[in-house]
Amino acid sequence: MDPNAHAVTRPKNPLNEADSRPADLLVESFREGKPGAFDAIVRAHQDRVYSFCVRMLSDREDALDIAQEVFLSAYRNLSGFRGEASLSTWLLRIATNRCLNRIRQRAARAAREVVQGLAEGNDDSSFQPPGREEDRPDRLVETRETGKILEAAIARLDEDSRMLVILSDVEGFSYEELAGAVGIPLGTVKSKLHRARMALRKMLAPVV
Amino acid sequence: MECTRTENLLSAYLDGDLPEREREGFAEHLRQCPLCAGEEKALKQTLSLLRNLPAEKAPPELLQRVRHRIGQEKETVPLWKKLFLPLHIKIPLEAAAVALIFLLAYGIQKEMPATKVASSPPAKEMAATKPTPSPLAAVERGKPAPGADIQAGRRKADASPRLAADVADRKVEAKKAAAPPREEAPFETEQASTPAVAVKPPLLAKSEIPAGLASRVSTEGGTIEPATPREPPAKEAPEPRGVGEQLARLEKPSPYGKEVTIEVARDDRIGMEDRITALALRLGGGVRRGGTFTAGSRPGEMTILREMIQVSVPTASEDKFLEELGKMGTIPPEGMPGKTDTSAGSSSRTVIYTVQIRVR
Repeated sequence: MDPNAHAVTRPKNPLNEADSRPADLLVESFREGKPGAFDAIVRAHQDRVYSFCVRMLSDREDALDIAQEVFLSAYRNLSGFRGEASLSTWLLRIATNRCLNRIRQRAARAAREVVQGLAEGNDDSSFQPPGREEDRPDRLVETRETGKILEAAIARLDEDSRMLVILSDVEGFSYEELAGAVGIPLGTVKSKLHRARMALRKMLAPVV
Repeated sequence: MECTRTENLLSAYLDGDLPEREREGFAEHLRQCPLCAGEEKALKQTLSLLRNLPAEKAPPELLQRVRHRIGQEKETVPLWKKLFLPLHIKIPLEAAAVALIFLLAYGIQKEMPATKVASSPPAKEMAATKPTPSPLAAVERGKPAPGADIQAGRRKADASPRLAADVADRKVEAKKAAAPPREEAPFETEQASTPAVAVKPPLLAKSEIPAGLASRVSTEGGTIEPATPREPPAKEAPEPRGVGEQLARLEKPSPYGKEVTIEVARDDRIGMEDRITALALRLGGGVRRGGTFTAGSRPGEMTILREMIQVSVPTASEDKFLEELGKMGTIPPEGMPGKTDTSAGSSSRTVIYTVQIRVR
């Protein structure tokens, strides 16, 4: 009997395996200056990068902006890509940093607005966490749209927890890849990821 | 196993990250505790939902926007970046540049010592080298070749080391005579303590000396060579004063240091250089023999042969030098050093005299 039969199949980054060879070929073609090589790279990875950005930012317009920046950054730096990680992992790392920057910019802007509102005597403008109020998981329960409930629950996690859950449990990053992408020790990754999962489970308690 | 600990290990258990013994204990606890088993089931379901979350389809404008931005960037990329950015061009180009620099540096380093040897051959080598006749010697008028007298001197030199050195010096001088004099060349200090043995150069008959300026006479080989146009006739007139004097001084063929002219009788001419050399050495100075040999004449006057010899004497012995020099012949008033002459010594304690010897 398999001792790990109880375990949820450990996340495997699908792009690490399925796309590694074509991605390598595409990168080589790009380096050789073949026309259309970069278009092919964008086509191969755009859905995953865009999805990640949407889940991180809970805003499709922002996600489009960031996804565009990710591919531009890749275009500028692909000649220095050494292939230590797969191309998809590399792109998602860029996306992670860009998304976190955007979230911080938003938070700073929101904080300025709150301060400004208080100065003007308008205390109605309270800070809104990511995700729309009407998308709160407990309200979405009624709709029974599990996908939407899940997206809404993810959006209500703090940005570090959200990033870890998406990278690990949606994108299939291993613990080691997570530690590399986020720049924190392996043990910290494991404990933070566990806390994030438990928070998500509690939010999803009505439906799970 | 306690329930709190179980909850902490739930993620690791589901990820298959627990050691075997701990995993067995964990599974045993789940079998006995329905609450923890429910937690495990709920988390397992959450993770399953996450892993099955479908990817959002990127809007088509993403690729268009990326293409547009790349197009904009390409337009603004400078030419050098376009040339060097692709690694398949950049790396071989840089490697080639490094190799080229290395080869150039190696080549230059290898060439340097050879150049040095070529520019300053040792005196011994020079003495051993057979002198090559100057191209100008082709117009000699039945006189021995410039090297002939030197060869004779060389035979004599076998009997005396001093003479051998002197001959070597003369050979160097003979070579220098073919090229423009280099005034910046350092003085050779003669080390001999014994009086120099004079090498008697063959005298020229008056009839053999060409009239006019179109001659260049070497007392070394007894040859007469066409004068080079850059050697103007010697000025015998008293030196002008003031600015005019300075300008006239610059026009002289050898305006180096102080200039003094000594006139000697034909019979006394032979060995003058050696006597002047001995004098300079006695006074603690040095001498550079040879250099420019000039000849010239003025209408109605006898032809004057001149040889230049440059002497370095200590400033303190300057008057003594002129006094002793005056005893060897006659220093005419116009032959005395000009007031504008510079000392040109390597230090303030040394003065250089360009001595010209005239035959009356």
